[in-house]
This record gives sequence, C-alpha cells and structure tokens, in this order.
Amino acid sequence: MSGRFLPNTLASINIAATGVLLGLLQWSAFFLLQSYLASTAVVYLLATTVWLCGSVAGLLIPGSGREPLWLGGAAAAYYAMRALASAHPYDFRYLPLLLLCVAAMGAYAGRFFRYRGKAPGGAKWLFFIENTGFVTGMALTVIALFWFGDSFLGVAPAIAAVFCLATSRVRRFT
Amino acid sequence: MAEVAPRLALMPSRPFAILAIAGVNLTLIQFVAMREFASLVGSNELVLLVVVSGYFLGLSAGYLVSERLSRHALVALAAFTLLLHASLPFSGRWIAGSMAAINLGGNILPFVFLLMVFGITPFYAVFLPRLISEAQSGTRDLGQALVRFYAAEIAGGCAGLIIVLLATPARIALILALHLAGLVALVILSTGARARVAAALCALPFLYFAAWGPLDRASLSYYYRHAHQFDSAKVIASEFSPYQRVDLIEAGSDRRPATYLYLNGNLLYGTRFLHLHNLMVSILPNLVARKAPTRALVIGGGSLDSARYLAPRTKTLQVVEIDEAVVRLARRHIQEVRGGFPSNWQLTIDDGKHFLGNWTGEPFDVISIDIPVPTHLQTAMLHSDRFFALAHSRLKPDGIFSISLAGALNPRSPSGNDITFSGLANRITAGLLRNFKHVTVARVGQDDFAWASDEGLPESVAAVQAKADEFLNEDGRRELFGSPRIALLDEDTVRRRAAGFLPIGEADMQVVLRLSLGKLYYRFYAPKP
Repeated sequence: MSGRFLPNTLASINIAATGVLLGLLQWSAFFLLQSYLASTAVVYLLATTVWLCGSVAGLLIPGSGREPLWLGGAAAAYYAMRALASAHPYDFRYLPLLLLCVAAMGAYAGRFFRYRGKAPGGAKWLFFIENTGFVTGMALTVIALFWFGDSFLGVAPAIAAVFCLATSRVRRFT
Repeated sequence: MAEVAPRLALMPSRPFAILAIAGVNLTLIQFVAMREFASLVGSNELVLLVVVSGYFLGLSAGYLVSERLSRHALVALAAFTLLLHASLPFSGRWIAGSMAAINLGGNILPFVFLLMVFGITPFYAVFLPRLISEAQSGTRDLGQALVRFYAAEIAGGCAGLIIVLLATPARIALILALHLAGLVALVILSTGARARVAAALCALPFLYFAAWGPLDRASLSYYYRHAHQFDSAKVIASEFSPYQRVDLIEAGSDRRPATYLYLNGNLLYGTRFLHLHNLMVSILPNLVARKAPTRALVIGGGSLDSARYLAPRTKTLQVVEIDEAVVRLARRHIQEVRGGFPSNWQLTIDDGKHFLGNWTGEPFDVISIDIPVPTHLQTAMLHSDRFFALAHSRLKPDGIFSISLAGALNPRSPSGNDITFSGLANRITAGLLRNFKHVTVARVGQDDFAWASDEGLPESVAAVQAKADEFLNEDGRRELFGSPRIALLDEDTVRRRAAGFLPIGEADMQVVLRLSLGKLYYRFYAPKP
C-alpha cells in the first residue's frame, strides 16, 4: 500500500460522505416542507431555487477556512427547520425563515466545493464521487425510511454531519 | 493514446456560456424526465427514485469520462445526444408502446433507467471537470476556476427553473424546443462545428417546435393503444403541469367512445370502478349525512364528478384540488361536453392539508378524500394519522369523514411476509379509529370505503342502499355507475381487522414502497392467468 493511499482514501471517503449528507439534507428538507407546509409546486420550486442560490453564495463568498462552521451551520439549519416546521404546520408566515434554512444547507453544498478545489484526483473525481454519494444519500434515505420510519430523519443528518466533520479533519492532518 | 480533444476555453467567456447553458438544460430536462419517463411505467415513488437516480448517475458517468474523451469521442457523444433529444419524448413513447405490444412491458422500467444513465445527462456533465482541468493546465488557479465555473453552471440551473416556472403548464413544446436550442448551442460551442453545419443545426429547434403537435399526439396515441390495451386511442388533450403529465384519452368503439383521464400514466377517471369510487367517497356520504343538505368539502376530485353530482344537493360545496391543469382539462373535456354542469360550487387550487390547516370558516358536515391510491409520499400524507386528526378538527360534531380504503379490509396479520402487502386498508382504518369514535365500512364488490364520525352513521344498510338507488335512478346514471350492491361491515369486525396495525405515520415509506412495488409487479411481472 503506497504512502499516498491513506490520505487519498480518506479524502474520497469524506467527499462521498458529504455527497450522502447533502442528498440526505436535501431530500429531508424538501420532505419537511411538503409535509408541514404544503406540497404545492410553488413551495418546491422556491426551495429548489434558494438551495441553488445558497450554493452559489457558498461558492463565491471569499475565504478558505472555518469549514466546521459552515458544515455545522447546515446541520443546525436542518434541525432549526425541522423544529420550526413542526411547531407551525401549514403556516406560510414562516416560509421565509424555512427558506433561509434551506439556503443555509445549500450554502454548504456550494462551500464544500470551494474547500475541496484541490482535492486529490482533480475536479473529475471530486464531482464524480460527490455526485455518486448524493444519489446514494437519496436512495439510502428512501430505504432507511422503509426500515426505520421517520425517526431516521431525526438522527441521520446529525450522524452524517459528524462523520463528514471527522473525516474532513482527518484529511487535513494526514 | 487518444487524440487530445479541442480546448474548450479558448475565449474567456466561452466556458461560462457553455456551463450556464448546460445548467439551464439540466434543469429543463429534469423537469420533463420526472414526468414523461415516469409516466411510461405509471409513476409512483419507486419509479421516481429510479428515474432520478438514473438522472444523477448519468451525471456521474459524464464526470467519469470527461477528461478522457478524444475530439472524435466528444463529437460522437454530442451527435448521439442531439439525435436522442431531438427524438424525445416521442421515441420513448414508441419504444415503450412497442415493448408493451410484444409482452415486454416489464423491460420499460430498465429501459427508462438506462436511457437516463447513458442518454439524457452524461453529455451535460462532461464540460465542468473538462474546463476546470483545462484551466489548471493554463495559468489559472484550479480552486478559482472550479468556484467560478461551478457557480456559472448552478446559475444556469436557476435560470432553467425560471423558464420552467414561466412556461408551465401547457407550454411543454416550448420548454423542450428551448432545451434543444441550448443543446445545439452546446454542440456548436464544444465541437467547433463549421459554419454550414452550425447553421443547419440552428434550424433544428424550430423544426422540432413546428412538428411537435402531430408527433406528440401520434406517439401518445400509439403508447396508450399498446401500453393500456385499447383498440384505438385518440388524444383529446395532454399537458405537463407542475405536478404531472395530464392526458385525456378517448378510447373504445366508434359508436360509444369513453373518455379516460390519466395522471402521470395512472388512470384516474373513466371506468365503472372509478365512477363507483366517486359515488362511495364523495356522493353517498353527503346523501346519508344527518344534516342534509350538507356543507361539503371534497379534497382532490379533479375529474369534477363530485361537483357535477353534489353541487345541486349540498348547501355549499368546496372542491380543493392541487393541480389547476387537471381541473381545467376535466371541466373542458369531460364535464362541459356532457352539458348541465353546475356553477354553484367553489374551487380552490391548493394542497388539501394546507387548505384544512388554514381553514377558519364554519366546520364541514362531510369531508371527502377523493385522491389516488397513496403510491407517492404526497398522497400518503393525506392518509396519515396527523391528517385525520386535522380533518376531525374541521368537522362538525356529527360530521362524516370519507375515504377509500383502496381495497378490502380483510382479516390480515400485521406482519405479512409478502413484500407487496402494505396493509393499507387496515392501517387507514387504524388511523381513523384513533381519531373518530365510529368507523363505518361500506363494501361494494371487493372494495371498501370508510365513513368515520363521532356520532355513528344514522342509516341502516337498507337505507344506504335506498339512497344510492334513488341517486342512480336519475338520468340513466346506471349506465355509468352500474347497479352496485352495498354492504356494511359491522363495527366490531372493523375494529378487529384494524387491531394490531399502526396508523400511517409521517414519511411512511412502508406503505408507499410496498404499494409501488405491488403496482409494478402486478402490472408487468406477475404471471398472467
């Protein structure tokens, strides 16, 4: 096993895990909006738009540090959204706050690529691994909901975020 | 080693243009694919997962080969993608229809998945890593190139969403023609096509737009004739709404054709069974309620049969349907052509649970849930324990909540080993019993319908049958509804059969996936008798 294997492998695991986390967050956030607010197309399109706008903001805001803050912020935004949506079901007055949470999650989806701009293997592997992780995250969410029910939506994002944080820090020190 | 492909980033603005167009097109084609390709097998949550996974795995495939493509390979991929997209969605319908015609319908879902992975998205994914790699080989900083290029692609995605928002419903031809125009621009920009070739390619989106009407109808007609086993099928109307593909098909013999309403490939209206569904869910509960005429609410009911039959019999009638296109097309092509369509009812375009959650008016006498079987999470939410509690809070003390059990409430064990067994009827009943004091189950043939209330049903089975007969004897309605014999299950039996089953919860994938799997299995894969 070459000396480069470990950091590359860990970096790849971190990228894949982040893809899984983002798939999980996006699926879960959109589900929360549909379930507690409304299943209308306007809500879905607004949520998609602010996720994408958040991603662009996360990409373009200058700076290269404080990744745990962005990652933690995305996870915190998910749980804030969950609490807010379930406390005020069907209440459109909270839509701007809920969309702000979605934007915060999308912001890490963009920020992540800023942090991994020099990931081993180049852009091809970065996008390939993250995107495949994203699909895996979506599929895992559906399968896990089948087996574990909606309690999965309460614990999985936190576990995935902690795992991403841990692997991102190991990657930095190897 | 393969010949090196031409550099895409010769002009400073070209990479941004390429990526923005790719972003726009990815959004447009995702919007269409989720409706069109899912419709080919009859959309449900499982089918959507297959389609969306195929879409994203196609991106992964594109990323994987991005830097290895030679010039010839890139041109070949561009040509293949252009030909494929110029033929869609018509070719997909013809292929799926032909598969069904030769008893290979079970291959439609794998076909759709492979089409998504290898045909729809890979070409669009090639550019991002390739352009970043080229920037890296130049003087630009890799990290900065990635940030700017990826931002351009996402911004294109946002622009695509705006196009979708402006162009739906009804302008699907425009969306796909714009998508094709974007694809042509990408092909020209990425392959450095010669001026003559470029000029010829530019005509393609206009030709596509002009040919849309006849090709759309011919391919849809072919698909329905073979995939749904009609002798003949004429497309009366077809639209892409923000939620689904809405098709109205006229089929049957020339002397007595019938009109069928399909939502994303699933039949919603047109058969005797579906007319009976409307009778039992929406009409009859209002006829047997304690206080007639009633203040009635119908959630769903997009075919507007409930409006036709209930509006003359109720004090007020409110229909809440999420999809404006369904109501508009059903009114124009099903109800108004029959004549005598009433106007004394109110329509609200909204999600049923959002509407009820915000309802502050007088409580209703009857709330009817007239929606398809919950093979999507969206519809499963309208069968959940939380929704039943909400509906209960919006009913008068002697009000009735009516819903289909989507099958028979048979004695079953909650822990059935059959993967397609969802226990739906039992679980809906368990949810109703948790929120209402009484649940009456009315049976017609093999199908059960639940009427839940706090004061119990005032009528005997003979009285219920009499009310149904009185309604059916008007205006030759028996031609549509037949002569159903109604039975009522006694409440002890209902409670016994729901015992041990959990009400449907939030994000209940157990119900949704088992139903989805069951629908696919029995339509395509179960041994035919």
